[in-house]
Amino acid sequence: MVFNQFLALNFLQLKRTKRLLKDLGIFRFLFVLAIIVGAVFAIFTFLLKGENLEIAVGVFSLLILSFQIQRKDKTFLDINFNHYRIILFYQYLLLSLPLLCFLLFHVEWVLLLASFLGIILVPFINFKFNTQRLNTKIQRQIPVGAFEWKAGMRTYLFFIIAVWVGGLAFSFLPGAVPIAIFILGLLPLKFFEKGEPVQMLIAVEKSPVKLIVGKFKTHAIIFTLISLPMMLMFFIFHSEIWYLVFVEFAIFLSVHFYFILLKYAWYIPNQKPGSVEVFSVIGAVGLIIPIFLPLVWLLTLWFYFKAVANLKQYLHDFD
Amino acid sequence: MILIKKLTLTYPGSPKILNALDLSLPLGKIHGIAGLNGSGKTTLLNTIFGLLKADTGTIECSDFEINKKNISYLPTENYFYSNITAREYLGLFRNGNFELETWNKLFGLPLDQVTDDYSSGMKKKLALLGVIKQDKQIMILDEPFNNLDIETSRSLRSLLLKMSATGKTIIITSHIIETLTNLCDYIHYLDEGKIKYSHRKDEFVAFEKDLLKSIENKTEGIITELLG
Repeated sequence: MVFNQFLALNFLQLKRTKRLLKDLGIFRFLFVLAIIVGAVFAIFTFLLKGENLEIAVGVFSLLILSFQIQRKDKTFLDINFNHYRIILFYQYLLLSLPLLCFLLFHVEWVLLLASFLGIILVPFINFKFNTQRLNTKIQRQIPVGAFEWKAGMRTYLFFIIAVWVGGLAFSFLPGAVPIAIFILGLLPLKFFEKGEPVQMLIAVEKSPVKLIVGKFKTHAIIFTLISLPMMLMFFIFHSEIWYLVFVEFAIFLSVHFYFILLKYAWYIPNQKPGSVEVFSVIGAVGLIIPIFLPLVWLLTLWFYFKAVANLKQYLHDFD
Repeated sequence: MILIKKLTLTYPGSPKILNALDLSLPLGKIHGIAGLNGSGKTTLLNTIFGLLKADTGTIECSDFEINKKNISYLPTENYFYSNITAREYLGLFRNGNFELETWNKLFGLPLDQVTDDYSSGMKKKLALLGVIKQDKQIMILDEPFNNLDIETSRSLRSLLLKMSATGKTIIITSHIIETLTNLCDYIHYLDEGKIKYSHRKDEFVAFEKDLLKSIENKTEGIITELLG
């Protein structure tokens, strides 16, 4: 019974993917396919070396954990299926199969067992950041125009503070600041996923170009204010490799711009269009596999012109 | 009979949402849960269904277990996977006896259209079809009439009355008191985490009159102060 429900859900996921790809059109589909094949090949090559498996298990666990925390269908599954956690377990097992096969291939029994236990436990994780009412001084300092940050801070404030303090406290270790900036750099990607209501877009009374430049400016200031103290600490403790975190910061900022433009290039009020989901994956791949970064930057340029044209239909009166 | 005894629930950092709440719900009847915004109606429904765990208290039923096997639930906000059609959504719920095309005559949904293109009213109808298809002993419906057009509202009302006549227990909330008085066998009024009054059908007229009077008394002064 439960397995049948799992099959039905997965069959549905296949149909969704098929429709999404159909909406993309043949050229974009081939483009996305090439990116996916490239990413899979890079991960495959990475995993062939046995010494990389621990990192792979760590990264994969974080990805699954973050997926479980953020997935929006948990309540739906809980309401409508008697044993929804078993369905989640099957899904995560299916996703983990390639990694488990690699672990088996390299005879890594401990990692294999730990991964399997992790897959059993993850479906039981169901906590929410209960911070909807949070309205601290920090949120009040963020300008109204950066509502994405206001909302994001409300959800992730404690997490951001924990990572930020951790990054500063352990900045004497070479990995601490780059990891903290990496985590804090990933968070804003979520802030720009969904289109705001059209009233909020119009309320600023700016032309598309001014709106986009304004978004860039406030985002760059906020992200710099968050990252700068950590970067300075890194500069003090690791002056011989100081440039590393500055490069990392610049890369993240460029990818954030990509995501801001992506939102407006396909902006539909209150929605997250399918194209945004697909191109978000490309942006994220650029962060994980840096050889794709030039592609992300090229797309950023294209999205800029597309965003200006798309926003004109809502903001033409302010040109 | 569903017996709810001393149900207490607190969200971290908030006052008690449910405060030693006692409630008796006879089976095979339509029960309306009324109350002001934020009075805890949805929390009560979530707790009965099992989505939330009460700090203390019990929910028991004389005839069957109170669990997901016997209850179907329509939340206020319904989740739909993107890029799936209504037919595919309904395919997730197993019920061999459910004749989709016949049931859909009541709602008139374009079943082969992806739900992303549905209006909020159409989404509500689809979620209702999902709940109906599950065919459980108890149906919990949180604001089922929200976003429905007048025709569907009337059809849903008749449908719920017929379902109740066949022995199903229906628990619904609505912020429109007339919706409840026109449909329910009992209305339970929730205030400050407790059931303040429970009324049978023959007491509804007096209840509605008293409620509207007390609301008018409360707001009249404020409106006069605002607008003179």
